[in-house]
Amino acid sequence: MTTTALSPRPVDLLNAEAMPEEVSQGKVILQRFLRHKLAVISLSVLAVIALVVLLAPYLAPFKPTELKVGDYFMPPGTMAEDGRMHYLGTDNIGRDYLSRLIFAGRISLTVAILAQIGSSLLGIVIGSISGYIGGVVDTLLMRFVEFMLSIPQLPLLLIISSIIIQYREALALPAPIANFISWLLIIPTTETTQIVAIIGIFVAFGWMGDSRLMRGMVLSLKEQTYTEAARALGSSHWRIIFQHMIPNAMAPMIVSASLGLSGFIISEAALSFLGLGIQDPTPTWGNMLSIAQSSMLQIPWLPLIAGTPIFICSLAFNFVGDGVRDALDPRLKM
Amino acid sequence: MVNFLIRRVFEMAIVLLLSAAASYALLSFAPGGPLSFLASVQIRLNAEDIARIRASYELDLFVPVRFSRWLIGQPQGPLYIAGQLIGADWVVGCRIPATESVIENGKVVTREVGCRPGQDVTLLDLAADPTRRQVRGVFMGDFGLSQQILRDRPVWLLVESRLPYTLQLMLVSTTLSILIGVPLGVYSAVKQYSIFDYIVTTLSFFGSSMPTFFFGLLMIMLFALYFEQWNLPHLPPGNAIAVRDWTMGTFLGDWRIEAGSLTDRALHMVMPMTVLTLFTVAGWSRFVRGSMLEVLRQDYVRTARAKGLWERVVIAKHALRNALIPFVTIVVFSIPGVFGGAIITETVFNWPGMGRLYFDALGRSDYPVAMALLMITAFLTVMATLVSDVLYTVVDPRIRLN
Repeated sequence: MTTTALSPRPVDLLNAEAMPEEVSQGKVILQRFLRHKLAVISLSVLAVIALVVLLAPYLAPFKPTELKVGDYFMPPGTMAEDGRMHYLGTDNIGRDYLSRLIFAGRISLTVAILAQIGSSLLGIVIGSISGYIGGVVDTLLMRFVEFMLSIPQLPLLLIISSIIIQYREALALPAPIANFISWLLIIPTTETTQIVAIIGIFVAFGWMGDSRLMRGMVLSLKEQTYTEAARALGSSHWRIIFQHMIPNAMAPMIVSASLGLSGFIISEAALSFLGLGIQDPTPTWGNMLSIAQSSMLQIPWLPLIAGTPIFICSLAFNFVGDGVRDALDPRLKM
Repeated sequence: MVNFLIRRVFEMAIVLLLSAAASYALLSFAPGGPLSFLASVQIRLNAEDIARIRASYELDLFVPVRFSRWLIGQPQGPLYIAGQLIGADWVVGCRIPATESVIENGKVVTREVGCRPGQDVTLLDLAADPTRRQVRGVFMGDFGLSQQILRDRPVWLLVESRLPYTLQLMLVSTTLSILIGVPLGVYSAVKQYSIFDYIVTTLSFFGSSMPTFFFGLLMIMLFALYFEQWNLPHLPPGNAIAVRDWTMGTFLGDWRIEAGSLTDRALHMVMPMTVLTLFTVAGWSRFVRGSMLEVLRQDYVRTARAKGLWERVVIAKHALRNALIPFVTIVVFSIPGVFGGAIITETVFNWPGMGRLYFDALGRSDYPVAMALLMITAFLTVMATLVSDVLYTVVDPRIRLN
């Protein structure tokens, strides 16, 4: 995965003679990762899921919003009239369950990944500014982070998303973004606003931990001799930050990001499950679970199908994160 | 220590004030509220009705004024200083807003544009209107009136009626979590890399990856719905007390359970308690294992062993006591959750606690209720931070506060 991009190769030493046989750092990291059996299994499971949701339009037998009046709660394996199979049956308004599940995966995973990328980036930017500049800026930013961390998160998350969801018609996305999301997730452009809004909320509430981590790394890297050397050679601040600080602080950031993905999967599912996230015609695992809950008296096992992917993905991301941590930074292991 | 406390209390007050202001501002932007509810049930209101309803919920005041009245119960009217009224004609609100309807994207959109002429509310009006509720402010324990859930009754009544259920659920599950999580963590740390450790670590991964709502639904599916179908002893799917007496099929024949009896309450609590406990145990056992491993590596543990102490004494007295220091923080930080309730778990099991109340309040746009719960949780969170800092110095004399 991203681990191989991380090897800062000692370029000058490559040409030196009489060096012991070089094992690239990427290889070492890969070996360490492969030793973590559960992480490898999880990664392959995630790869399969990713492949399935990427090929959603070709694999799913039905369109996710295609409904048939009267075909409610069909049991798994029922044939539709046109000879296509409802492998997992249909939901409360006659939509094919398997197809919805696949398309929902595309949306749920995209939301989690984009939210994680967004909050990591914001965390990196704010953390490195705060750590590098120090002084009043640092104090103010870190006070703000403490404030954000000290207020109860879930209740506020619920309020904000309920407000945004209710105003989602009034919010307008720039056309290119709306078109891109609509193309990526295969949903009508009118439904893209809520997705971007949810990602935005997650980023707004998710960057604090990363920024603290980044600040800590920058503070310790500032004291390193190579930073001093770079400064003595006359490097600009930007060069020091981008060339020296961020690459060296990447390992813990990647670990935190891969562990964070699991949290975002669950958060998105929870919000949608409570009806305050992504709304029904757009399928996500969370709102499918919510429909499954209200249909439990008719079909008790329905939540099992909608919830299992959430659990599997969250578990797999956790294991992969654990494996990445072992591989990248064995000292972090408790 | 005293300096530290003073500084911290001061900081706490600022954090609380900021978060109160932020939440209040957020909620004042939120759509819904009593007027839109009446409009949604097709009640035609004339301007006077609107003015009356707005006044009774203080919606006719500007947000900062309303916030200040909500927080400290002021302003009640103009100031009376040295025989002179000060600020009697200051405008603090608007009885009937002027609206304008425009066509936007083919839809008719009605917007508020300022105040109708002559409909300003001044500070003097605020004092002169006998129908206006005398607010005392949150500081004096007045959280205002509920707008939807318990219409026109004090929010505090609602909180009071829900709090026992949340406390009951949370105290039991927290106690169970400590009783299960700490031994699990300690034992798997002591037997690091054993099969037991491996199993506990893997299970704790499962436990913390399992979304509470999914686990809850699975339990309802199995223990409530299928067990009833299969005529096994089943559990009630939701709520805290049965509405009427119910019977449970067992192998030994039917078992009649009286609604509201202790058995009834206990049976209702089993599932939500299990969900919460499993989730917490997963996190806490991992935490205890981590800090225990850290401590077991220390020199003083080796010294204790070298002195020839029993392994049990070394673990319980030397290692565990030190390993539990950071754990204290974790437990103290779960206290706000105890009062705030587990929103998701309570919603899944329809448990009539504070979390469920909060969710209902949001869903039905009963913002005074939501605001009260937010403030209680925020206050407890901030208090928990302080208490955990102080506790740290108590359990670990090496730490000095300054």
